Amino acid sequence: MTDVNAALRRTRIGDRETAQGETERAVRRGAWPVAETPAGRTTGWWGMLLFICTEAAMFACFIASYYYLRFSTDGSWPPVSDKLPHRIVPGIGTGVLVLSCLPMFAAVRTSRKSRAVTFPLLVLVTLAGTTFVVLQAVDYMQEYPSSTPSKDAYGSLLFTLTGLHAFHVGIGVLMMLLVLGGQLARGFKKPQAGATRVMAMYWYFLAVLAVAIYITVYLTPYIM
Amino acid sequence: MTQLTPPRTGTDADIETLSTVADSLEASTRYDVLPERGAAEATVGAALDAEWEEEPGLWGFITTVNHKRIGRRYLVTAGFFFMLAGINALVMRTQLAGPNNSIISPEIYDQLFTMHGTMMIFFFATPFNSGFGNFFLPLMIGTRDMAFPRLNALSYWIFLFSGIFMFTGEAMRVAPDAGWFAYVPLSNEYSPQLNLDFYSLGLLFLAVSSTVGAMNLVITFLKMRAPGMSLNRVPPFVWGIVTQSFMLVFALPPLDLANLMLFLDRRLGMRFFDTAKGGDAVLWQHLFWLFGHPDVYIIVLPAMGIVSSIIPTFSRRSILAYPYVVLATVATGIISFGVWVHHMFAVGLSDVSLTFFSAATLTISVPAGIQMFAWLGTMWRGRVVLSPAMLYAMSFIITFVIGGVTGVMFAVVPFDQQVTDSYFVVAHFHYVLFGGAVMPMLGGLFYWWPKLTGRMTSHKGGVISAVLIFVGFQVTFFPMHIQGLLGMPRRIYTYPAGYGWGTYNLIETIGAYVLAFGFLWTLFVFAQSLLSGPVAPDDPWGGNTLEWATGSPPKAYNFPVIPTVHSLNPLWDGRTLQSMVDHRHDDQRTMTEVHRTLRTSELDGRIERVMSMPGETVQPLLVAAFLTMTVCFLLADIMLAAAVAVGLMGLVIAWWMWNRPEIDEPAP
Repeated sequence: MTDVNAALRRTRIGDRETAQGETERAVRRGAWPVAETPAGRTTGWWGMLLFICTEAAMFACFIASYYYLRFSTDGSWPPVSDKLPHRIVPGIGTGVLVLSCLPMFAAVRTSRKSRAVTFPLLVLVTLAGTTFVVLQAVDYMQEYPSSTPSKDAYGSLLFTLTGLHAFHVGIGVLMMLLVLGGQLARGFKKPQAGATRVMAMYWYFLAVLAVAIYITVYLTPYIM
Repeated sequence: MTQLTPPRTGTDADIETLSTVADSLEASTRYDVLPERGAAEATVGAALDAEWEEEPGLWGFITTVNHKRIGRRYLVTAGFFFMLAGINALVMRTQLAGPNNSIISPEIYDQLFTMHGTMMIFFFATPFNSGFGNFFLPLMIGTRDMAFPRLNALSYWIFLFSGIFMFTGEAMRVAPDAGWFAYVPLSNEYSPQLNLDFYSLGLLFLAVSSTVGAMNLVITFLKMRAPGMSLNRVPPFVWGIVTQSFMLVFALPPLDLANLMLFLDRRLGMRFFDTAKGGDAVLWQHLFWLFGHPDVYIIVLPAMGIVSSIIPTFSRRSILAYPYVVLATVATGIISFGVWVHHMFAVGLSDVSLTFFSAATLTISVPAGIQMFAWLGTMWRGRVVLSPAMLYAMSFIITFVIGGVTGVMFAVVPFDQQVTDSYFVVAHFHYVLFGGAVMPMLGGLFYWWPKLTGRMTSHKGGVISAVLIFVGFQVTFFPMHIQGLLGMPRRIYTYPAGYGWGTYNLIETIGAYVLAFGFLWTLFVFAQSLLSGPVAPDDPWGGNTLEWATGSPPKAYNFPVIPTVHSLNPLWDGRTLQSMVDHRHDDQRTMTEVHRTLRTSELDGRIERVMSMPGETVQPLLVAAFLTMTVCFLLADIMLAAAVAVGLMGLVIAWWMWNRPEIDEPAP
């Protein structure tokens, strides 16, 4: 018989590590033949993983569509009526988003110990995400006169692919605000380790995606 | 202890070699309540009842997150859409009964066949499977609810509203009319009305529901299985649902992307599919069929899972070659992503891609064959009980094999190019989808009806239903093979006399009415059961899986004591049921405080912790309502209002995320 509340208390903080430890102890006792690792994934962790899977599948199809249309176009890419895309501003945006993974990572590592450190780190990540969205908008103003969403397939791809990604970063920023709000409202007392960890998975995904899209949309027109 | 089978201390392999347990069929019907469940209920039932009691009335109806109520709603709603889409087909068959008919106009005919296909595929077949999955997956794996109960409710409400959205289009006579696969440019520049906006928006709308529903089922399967239910003890039906859900997670994105591009092309003048401006019409076909072919298995795999549930119970033995059945299910799911081009053999792609996809298509018949032999072997080595559910399972085997054989014929490129777009194709996919999905679903309804409603159905009525549906189906669809080989194209509104098609068409129309009568009869059997059927015991068929260890219908908390699963056939091994008695004083297994259930490990089903579940809430309905408003405003081209509705939806989602049960657990 296990006292439920005692078990809950034991597994509340550092849920994953505790479950892992219990598994290892059970193996040492000889109760289980081998440890199942990793143990203690939460339903939220799996939910975010599957969400990332479906999003990744959609962006993979989109990037594949980009190359499909690019290689079924005869002649130059972008078409002669469009100018080559601007590399600098979106490059800075992508760099900022990728670098923001560092404070995100640090936030995850500190979220179980010192939540007062986590908070400013997450604020930094949120600002980086906002910067990315703003720089994307700046890039649209650079591209706009020569390429438009409805001028040709090149323009449709450029604006929609990057726009959809920037929209996702925007959603990520809003989710981040929710996590920050949760920390403020709960007075840094209740643990937010789970939420931070799940949020970080999404953030890394957005950063990887930003690199793939940057290479596809802003660099390949120069080399192909 | 148990009267069902003698208690066994063997391993899964011993249970596998058990010859038959037919005698337990009579024994089990003696009990209204299984003695083990009775003992567990007597100990903790009252406390759980008080904790899990649901709000009565309308408020309870719209706020419930109970997976059983949501599952039943899925079944009823999808069944209703099935009826509407079926009526569309009946009108078409009436129009085609003789040459040169003009009962309906060609424009309406286009809308009818498009709506028939779209509604049957998207709004009946997939959600009907979700209904079974929602109701039975948590019961079969021994838990109390889905991993995300509120998301489950959201998924249902969105499904309901998107279905209503689509049929509103038909009622306004602007339903989609470019075929269920809506090829551009017909669906684009040649369709200026709202028709195809209903299509692209409606399917994007529904995709939200299917995606979150699929994730929910996968995670429930991974994290909520009863202790002891390692992956090699998971029932084949659960494997079918989980494979389908994984496939939805990866197959819906290309469809969503295609519909997004179509919507942007149509409404904002973008050029994805505009060949004059650097776009490509074939891109639509690739994206659509990259979804479309996996979708065939998304529909069929859970239905095969239903067959894998019915056949062991009514053959009175464990399923033959269980690991191969599971591996075949998963393999089908994976291979199905590599065969989409066989829908495009007539488009004019390169010979290399035709050869590759022809070979891949031939490959996919292997896992289907493995499952087929496993079912036949189970029946051969068992003692078959001819219940209505079993008759439906056998109708499935016959019909699906015929559909599979014509499917392999399509993998041969020259043959495909000869019969493409003819009635031969229509015959083929109705054999696969009606035989592969509708028949198992009807079988599943007869099999699980006692669990769904707490009432038994009439045996004779069920047998008549199975015979009527089988005969009606064959008479309707078999002649289409011949008619297709004679050259009748699909999707024509009428045809001239003198081609030799008239007789076949007349026979098919008569068959369609027999089929329709069969469905009316089935409905009558179910209605009669609801009104005056005998009350069902816990385990009327002597079934082998955990859902039969719950009440009929199950209590809100499903299991008073979460059992320890000892084998693939937990109700036949004796020890699993006994564990409900043994653990009835164990707090970790009864969890009488708040809404709680067990979280276990992904592979071996070992206990990780007790987790809290959210209770009733109106949030899912609010989110679905704002999403509906968004879609309607997008259709009406009122962008500002759509943005406001999205904002409101975001606020509700923020409110939702704020109250996560794992955060609101009692402080240490």
